[in-house]
Amino acid sequence: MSTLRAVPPARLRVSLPLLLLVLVAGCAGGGASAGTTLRISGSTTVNPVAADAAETLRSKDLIITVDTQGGSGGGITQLAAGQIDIAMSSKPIVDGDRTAAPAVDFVETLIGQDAVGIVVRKEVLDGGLRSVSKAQLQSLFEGKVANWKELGGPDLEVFVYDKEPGRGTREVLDAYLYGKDGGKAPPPPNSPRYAIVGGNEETRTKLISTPGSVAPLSSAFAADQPKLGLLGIDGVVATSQTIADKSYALSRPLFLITDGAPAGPAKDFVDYVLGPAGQQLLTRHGYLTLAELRT
Amino acid sequence: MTLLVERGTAASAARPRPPSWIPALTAAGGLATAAAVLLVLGFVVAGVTSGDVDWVELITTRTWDAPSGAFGAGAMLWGTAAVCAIALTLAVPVGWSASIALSEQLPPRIARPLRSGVELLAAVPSIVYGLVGVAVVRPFVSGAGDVPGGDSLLAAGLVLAVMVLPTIVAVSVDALAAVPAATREAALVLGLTRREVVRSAVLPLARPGMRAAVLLGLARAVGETIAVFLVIGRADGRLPDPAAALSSLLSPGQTLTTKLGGPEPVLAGTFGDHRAALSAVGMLLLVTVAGATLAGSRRHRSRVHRVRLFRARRLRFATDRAVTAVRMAAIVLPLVLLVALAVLLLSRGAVGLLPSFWTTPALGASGGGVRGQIAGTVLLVAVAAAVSLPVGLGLGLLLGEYAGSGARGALRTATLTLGGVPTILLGLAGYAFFSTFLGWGKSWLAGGLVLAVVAVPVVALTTTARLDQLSPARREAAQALGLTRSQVIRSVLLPYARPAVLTGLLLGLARAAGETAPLLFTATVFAGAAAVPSGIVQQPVQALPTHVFALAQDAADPAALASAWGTAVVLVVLTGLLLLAAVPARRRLEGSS
Amino acid sequence: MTGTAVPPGAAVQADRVLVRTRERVLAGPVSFSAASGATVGLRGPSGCGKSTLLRALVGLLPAGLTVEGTLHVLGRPLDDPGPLPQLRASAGLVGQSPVVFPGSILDNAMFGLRHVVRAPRATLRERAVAALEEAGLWAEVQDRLDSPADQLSVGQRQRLCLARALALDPQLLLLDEPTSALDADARDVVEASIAGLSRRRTVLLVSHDVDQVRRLCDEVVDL
Repeated sequence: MSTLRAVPPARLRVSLPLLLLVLVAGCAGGGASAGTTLRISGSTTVNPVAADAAETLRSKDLIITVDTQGGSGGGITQLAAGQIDIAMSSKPIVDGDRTAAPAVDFVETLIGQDAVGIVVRKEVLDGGLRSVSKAQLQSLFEGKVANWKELGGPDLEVFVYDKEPGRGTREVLDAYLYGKDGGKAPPPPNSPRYAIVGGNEETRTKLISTPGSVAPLSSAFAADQPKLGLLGIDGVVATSQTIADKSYALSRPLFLITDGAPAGPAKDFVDYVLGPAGQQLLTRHGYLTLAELRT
Repeated sequence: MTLLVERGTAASAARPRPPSWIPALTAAGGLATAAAVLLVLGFVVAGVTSGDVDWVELITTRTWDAPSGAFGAGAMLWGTAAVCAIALTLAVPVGWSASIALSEQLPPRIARPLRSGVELLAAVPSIVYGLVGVAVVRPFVSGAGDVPGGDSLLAAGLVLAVMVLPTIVAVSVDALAAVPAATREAALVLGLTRREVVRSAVLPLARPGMRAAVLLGLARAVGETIAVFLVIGRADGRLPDPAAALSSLLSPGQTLTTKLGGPEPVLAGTFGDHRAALSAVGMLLLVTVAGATLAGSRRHRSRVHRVRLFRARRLRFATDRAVTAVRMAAIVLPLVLLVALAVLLLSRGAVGLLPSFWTTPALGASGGGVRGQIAGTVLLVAVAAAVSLPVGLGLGLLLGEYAGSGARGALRTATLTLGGVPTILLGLAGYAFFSTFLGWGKSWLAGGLVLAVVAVPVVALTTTARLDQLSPARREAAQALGLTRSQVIRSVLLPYARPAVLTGLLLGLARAAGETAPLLFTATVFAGAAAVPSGIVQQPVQALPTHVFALAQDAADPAALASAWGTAVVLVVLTGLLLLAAVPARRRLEGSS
Repeated sequence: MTGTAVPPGAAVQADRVLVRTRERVLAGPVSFSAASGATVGLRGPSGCGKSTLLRALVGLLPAGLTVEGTLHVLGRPLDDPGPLPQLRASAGLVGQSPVVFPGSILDNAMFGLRHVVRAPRATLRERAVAALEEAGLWAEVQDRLDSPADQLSVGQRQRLCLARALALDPQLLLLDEPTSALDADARDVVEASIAGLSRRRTVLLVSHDVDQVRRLCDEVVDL
């Protein structure tokens, strides 16, 4: 009996390699802890610009993450919660944002200008409808227009895609239709020809695949799309000219928002976007640069 | 330790020290599970109590409009009920027929590989079904159903039908296989045809298990978020008049999960009526899914009281042949599904098989490969493994060995409930606790821990099920040698349970690896995360399922769609490898039981 | 005597029958004939393939096994038995441990009947009652025909299985170790039931128990 030895712990063969893996990952991470991380999230409109800028600025010592969860509103909320460093936004900060997070010092840096386009399928334009009035736009997004011919367009059923809450695009449109802060916006219509979309990519995808559809969408995302076109508002169509001189009603600024004045890597990032290389990115993605705004 | 004192003789001096890590392991398993349950309940309860919830308004009215303070979830309840009804109406008859064909009609030589195929389908990550929804079902419904765009309750129901069919078949086959062969023989020797044997002898015994299959399928359908999110249209307030209920299936709607999967949980902040109303939606979801899961997992000991009697009919043999043919036809559907899925993945996502796709980092919106996403998914799964192995094993031992019958029932309920918690709720709870309360932001550790919660119940339940099969004689033989409880566990139970633990772990991880909804809120960003995180707090990763999700939304862009399919292939290959790794252990399980 | 007489109309007739896997012979070769109305015992040690042979008679051979030789059951050659359900209804097999179906005692007694025989329920019931009487169970269950069958004792259940087969009025009864799962008292009762079976039926009894075979059978075949 004296040969009995202490029972060794069960060999949990699976867990060992896995634990090792985590340890190795942890150690490797520990070694690289000198690097800083800059976290950016928010608007899918600003995203292409920020993503390109991040590709350029990213280095061994600077990790830049870019995400678009929840759009502009999601970005602002996460910035307020301290979960990110820069919120991308395609709408200005409103009073509601400040009252929800009184401790946060939202600093908006204007980086360019875009427009919320009233994007429709080409056949609507081809059917003769080129522009709508504010009142018509209201009834369109309240689900009160069943057929484009009611607005003078082709005999084609309307299908409305509206942006989900918190999206900059939606708030800009609501502010135009229902006043600042979109305060008097009615609840979503109980129409069977109405659905909700999130980011710009999803909006574009669903517009392309749905005959007779209309959605508010960054006009840049509708450019070069053979199936899509822009409706004018009160006779004004979104062009570089009308966006720059703000004669197009849904012209809107694009922002990078920080808590307090940008500092450290956030400042580097914002400065880069404001600089010539960064401003070129706005042009590349179909937005107006700050220089174009001033002229 | 003092455990030895009770023996107190000279013999004890030479006794090896009982392994003290076993009680520690079980305690850790119990505590961690309690923590996970608290995490979910805490999120829901804290949310509900952070503002005023008018439950009557919530359940009976349809208008949800946060700015005006209207919080009616009636339309979401209708949407959830409608999509689940569509899914089950399609999947149950086919699933049951196919399971009967598999278990009762086909020779084992053919049935066995088909069963494996169906189990493979059941393990396909839901984001892949979501991609199929966007790329195939949505256009199909748009064209065939004359639905503009295709976003509709019908499309969501079809996607769910495809998703729950394998679950229903797999669980039903298990129920049928549990009917003793002697029962079939006893009926056969009385001169019954195949069909009569199934109907009168096998089904009365298998029916409870086959109903459980439906409930588990229902739980999956109710709790699914991502695949539904992509094709339902997410339109609030759509509660039709009863007369228009059918036609409303062809238009967009909203379910409980798609509401929670949208931006509002992030926008609503941490307190107030909006947060409370969303949490109440979460509670409705939790109660529904937990109810279905528990009902489906009940052990069926109750005797069958009423027996349906079938009388001899004319043309017995012709009927037999006809019914057999119909069932064989039903088996074709899951097979077609399997083949179609494989063809879709390989034809559209062939890029996912190129080594370069695995080894290059993503570039821009849809270019490059998925190196970072693979690294992120591996890291998340490794964390989930490292946590869920000890916790799941400890919980399994607690369930199977330590707990008294009363505590055992409660623990089992807790484990089953945890396993049935819709993963969107896990994600939101993780977001509220790790990201917001602890201030981790998006963190790989938060994501890994949330995924561990997905895997733990699977590990624990397979372990317990295995321990239940251990013959009392073996345990007694060890006890008779004077082994302490810990030593019995160490020397008898653990070796016996090891293949089950391994199987449970790999199956649980395969499920966790494909989860999308919980990661979106807790751990992942679309681009730019470091391949190797440099700390715990505020260190997001990229992951394969969330990458597919992001790309799937840009489905009009061929490059994005191709990349989405390629990424899906990588994800399927990785989950497939986990399942494949489980095969030897499962074979050992089946061989020795 | 065994295996040599070939009377016309023999219920079972086996000529140099082998049961085998691909690799080895499990049972036989054996030749025997069971005349109409006879009770024939097949005796042999456990695992010698007796039960397999019995199952082969009604087309229930487990996968991977084959039967060689010539075998006639109820006048039909085994390789061309006609519809198997019909053969099985007229050649009732009762297994080693009783299997009762969910439902009442009467449900069980009528289980085969109501699938195989198209007749008014009253007729089926009469036949089931007659079968319960023939199996020696009627006296014990007549006042609780509608109570669940799984409340019966093992011995009663075995006789219920016997009654279930008898209800179809089979010409041939195949009994596979019908008492091996029972205690001594129950065995005696079941043996009495077997002894009391109608002489119209041919009985093939498989058993490892020499004494039992000697007690019950007219002829004994050793395997």
